Amino acid sequence: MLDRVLYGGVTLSDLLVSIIILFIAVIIGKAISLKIRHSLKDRVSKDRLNTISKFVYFLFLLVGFLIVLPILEFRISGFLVAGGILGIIIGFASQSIVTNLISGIFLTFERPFRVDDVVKLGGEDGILGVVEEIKIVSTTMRTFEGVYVRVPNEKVFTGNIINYLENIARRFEYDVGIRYKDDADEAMEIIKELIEEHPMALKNPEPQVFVESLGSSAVELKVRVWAPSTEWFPLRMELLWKIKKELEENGIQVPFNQQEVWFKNALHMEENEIT
Amino acid sequence: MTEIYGIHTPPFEFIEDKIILKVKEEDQQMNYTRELDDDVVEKPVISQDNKMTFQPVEPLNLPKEITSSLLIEFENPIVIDSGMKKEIFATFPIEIAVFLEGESPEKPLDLFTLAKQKYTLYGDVKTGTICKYWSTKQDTTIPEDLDPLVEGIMALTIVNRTKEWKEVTKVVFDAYGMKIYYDEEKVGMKGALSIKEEDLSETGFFNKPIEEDMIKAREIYRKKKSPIKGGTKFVMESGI
Repeated sequence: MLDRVLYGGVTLSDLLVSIIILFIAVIIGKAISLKIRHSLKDRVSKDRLNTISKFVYFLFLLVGFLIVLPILEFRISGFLVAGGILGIIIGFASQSIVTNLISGIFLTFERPFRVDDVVKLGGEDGILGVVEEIKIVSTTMRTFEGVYVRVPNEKVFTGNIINYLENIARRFEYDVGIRYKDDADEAMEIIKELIEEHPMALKNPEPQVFVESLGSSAVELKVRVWAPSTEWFPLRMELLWKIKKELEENGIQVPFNQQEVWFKNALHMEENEIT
Repeated sequence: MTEIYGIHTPPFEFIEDKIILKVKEEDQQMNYTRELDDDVVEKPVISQDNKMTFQPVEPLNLPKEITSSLLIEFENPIVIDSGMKKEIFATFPIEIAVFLEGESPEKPLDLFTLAKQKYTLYGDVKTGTICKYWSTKQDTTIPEDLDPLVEGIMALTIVNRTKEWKEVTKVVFDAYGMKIYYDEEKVGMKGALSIKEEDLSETGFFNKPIEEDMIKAREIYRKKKSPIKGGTKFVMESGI
């Protein structure tokens, strides 16, 4: 039964051998890519590890196919001719896929972001989230609302990319207004001490606290603090409220907007008329 | 005399200023309690040996493990002449780890610190390194009256291999390579700074105690690969 000819000189046993070879290639490819993942996980970044393991897997698959093709009496030269014609047809039919593919290759080389980076794709009004996977035709992200987003690589590559973790440190700033009757030197000292006490507010680059302007209702202080990029947002959230509470505990208040109104003619009102 | 470091069997109690540590044995299990400021940790522990080790470890874990580097800044810069080699004494921050005797010797049950915690940036924001920060005085003899629960003594050998005198304001270490030794009264380690060229210096550690009969502390990061290229030596390229 195994000698039964399927086509040309290819028998059923040839087909079975081919399937077994392909199966073995898949198993070995998976095993070796898994082994690479385990052995390199502490030394290589997650996205680079993904690329390496996928490359190794597909390499084994390709070797499997190259072994199997002669057994099944497929001529590679024939493939090339057929592939050329097919390529033109597919090329016209799938222009956007090819564009995404090429963009994906360029993204892999340029590496404007890595897996786990916090990025905004498409400029200021773009999609903000954590990069989950950089695939060959698309990039997948997880927004901070927990939503899965797939962005075609062409859009990623041609649009603006803001990577919030590319540099290791980031600065934020606050505007803090205090009353004119409060001591601005004391307020600045209190804020500086709070920044100094917080571990994540970097010692260097040095934080800055200074009088920015004399506003209509308040003396405006500017506070600038550097933080490790990964800790930037938690620190920014935490520090402002601490500053407000600490200033108030020391009798320094953040004033409401005030406006003095002068009447051209004095109002003649008795005290008991005011209700 | 500090009674905290070493192996303890319950009941064990340590109370000093801000810290309260208690290990009790109840119903064939240990109950570990640690209070530090407002932070209270309570852990019932089921263990075969019923022993715990308290010891100083690398100051990289608290408040959050975000770096492997430690930057020590000198209050007064040290000037060292060309070709000179000199050992000075400085201090470094300590974190205290609680280990269970037995399996998983590098995995601490609890970690706490009494040292001030602060981070800084060495270099620029693009290529620099976030480091744990510590400010220290320097001395030519082993400093006395240090609190071994807060800071350790670093014997730092400085070598100037350049052809001009250099001013040292700071040293940066890859703290994954720290070799800490301790006894009841002090914690210490030996480090080195080799000034090789203009803007190129190298730091590292010696696996030796600062005094005889000190006990080697466990290294939490011994098996973990440092993210810094070149093993546990740190190359300072942004000034000393």
